[in-house]
Amino acid sequence: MGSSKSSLEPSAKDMDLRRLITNLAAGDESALSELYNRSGRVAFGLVLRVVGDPAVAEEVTLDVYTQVWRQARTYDSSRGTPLAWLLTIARTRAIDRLRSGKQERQRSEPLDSADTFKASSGDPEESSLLSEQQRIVRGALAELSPDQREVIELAYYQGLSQTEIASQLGQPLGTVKTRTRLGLMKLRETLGPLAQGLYGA
Amino acid sequence: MEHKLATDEIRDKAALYALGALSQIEARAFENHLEEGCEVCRAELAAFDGVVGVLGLAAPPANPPADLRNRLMANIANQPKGAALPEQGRAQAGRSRGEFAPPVRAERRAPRAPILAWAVAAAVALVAIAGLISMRGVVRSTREELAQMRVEIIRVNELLTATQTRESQHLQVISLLEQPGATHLFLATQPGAPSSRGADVYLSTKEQRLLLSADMRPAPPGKVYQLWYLTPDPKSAGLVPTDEFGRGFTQVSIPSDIGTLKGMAITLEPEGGSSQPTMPIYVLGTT
Repeated sequence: MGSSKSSLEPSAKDMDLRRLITNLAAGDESALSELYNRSGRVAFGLVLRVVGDPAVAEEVTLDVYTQVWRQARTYDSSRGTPLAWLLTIARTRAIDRLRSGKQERQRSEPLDSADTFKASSGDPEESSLLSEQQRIVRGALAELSPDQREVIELAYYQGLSQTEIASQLGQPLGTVKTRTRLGLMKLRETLGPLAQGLYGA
Repeated sequence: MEHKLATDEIRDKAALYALGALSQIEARAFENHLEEGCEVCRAELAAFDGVVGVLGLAAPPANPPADLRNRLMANIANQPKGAALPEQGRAQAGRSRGEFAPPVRAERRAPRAPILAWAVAAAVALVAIAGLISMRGVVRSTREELAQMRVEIIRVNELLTATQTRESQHLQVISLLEQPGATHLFLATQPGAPSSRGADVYLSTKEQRLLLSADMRPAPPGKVYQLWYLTPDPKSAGLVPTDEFGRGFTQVSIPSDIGTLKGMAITLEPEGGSSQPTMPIYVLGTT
């Protein structure tokens, strides 16, 4: 960590995405196309991780970017970066789909944290800024205790309630709540400027 | 009432709200609280929102199908652009597990007077049940305490409906069994079904009602247990709400035209129930 990109100023890329969203909101279709170029792999990857089925993931991702197109005017930069906004929409729709569809994802997934969240380099196919952000987020997750990471993943990727998680893990509800809070607090600290939307997305 | 300092409990709420992991009731209560302008909670939520917002970057990126872009551009050609429309079927804003709506700003909702009247009525009824729960103080006038109280009352009511106390259940069962012509039926796990502890049905032909005490494996989300009369065609005896441990207790009025009852059974159905039982039968008992 501690690369030269730790400046708290919004980067050029960040301004680019904000400008894309603004143009998109004004009806510029090429801005949507460009946004999709920049973020499509990340969004699709997230949706796929949640729903599991590539055909379903395709439909959901289509809905996500369609929603972005329709709701770009509601994006408010004081509430987070454009990428965070997009990823939140993606996750929300994916979980909606997951919960309204088949139940087979409710079995507990083998946690691929050990591989996915190795504090290794980000995805080489992405832009260097995105790759850097991926590396930071994965590193932050790898620093959590397995217990904390587990409850956060179940809540984040499967949309399970605390009660469902407690039931699935055979743990008391209070323990799950504490682990979730401690894990997210730790992430708040380690992600720092990135979570505050100051790193540029 | 605004908080002065962030406590663990406040952080729990804000963190879970950011994850969309609060129930509808709790999410509404939290939103009401934010609307009052609590800066501490607003700041905690903003911080957790930031974390949850970027968590998606940890998932491995994947190549979407090549035709997705074309489909997208074709799709939007038919769409109104840029309008801040609520999504279909999720007209309410907010992030609760019941809705999982996109994160737009929470909107002011309709007046909550009907809920409050019911909540107060429920509170009065609850006083009669000693030892079930400690109500934190009497109703006070501030909105935050009212919101908290609503949360508690609704949760307690759910608790009551789904799993009444052992004592109350026993009293009901005893009272039914005192009637002449009362019978008991035990519904046991059937081969091919996931195992449950089973269910006890107490039937009173005189009073044309039955009590069901079920101890099943917890129902998965989106599914609910349903009770059936085994007459020549199975007839529904209604849904069996169960708590997170799979326990349920309900009373059912038996229709007078039910015909010859050979037994009863419970199946697992999609939320809302079905008109015909879905296999497998989980538990069954014959008269």
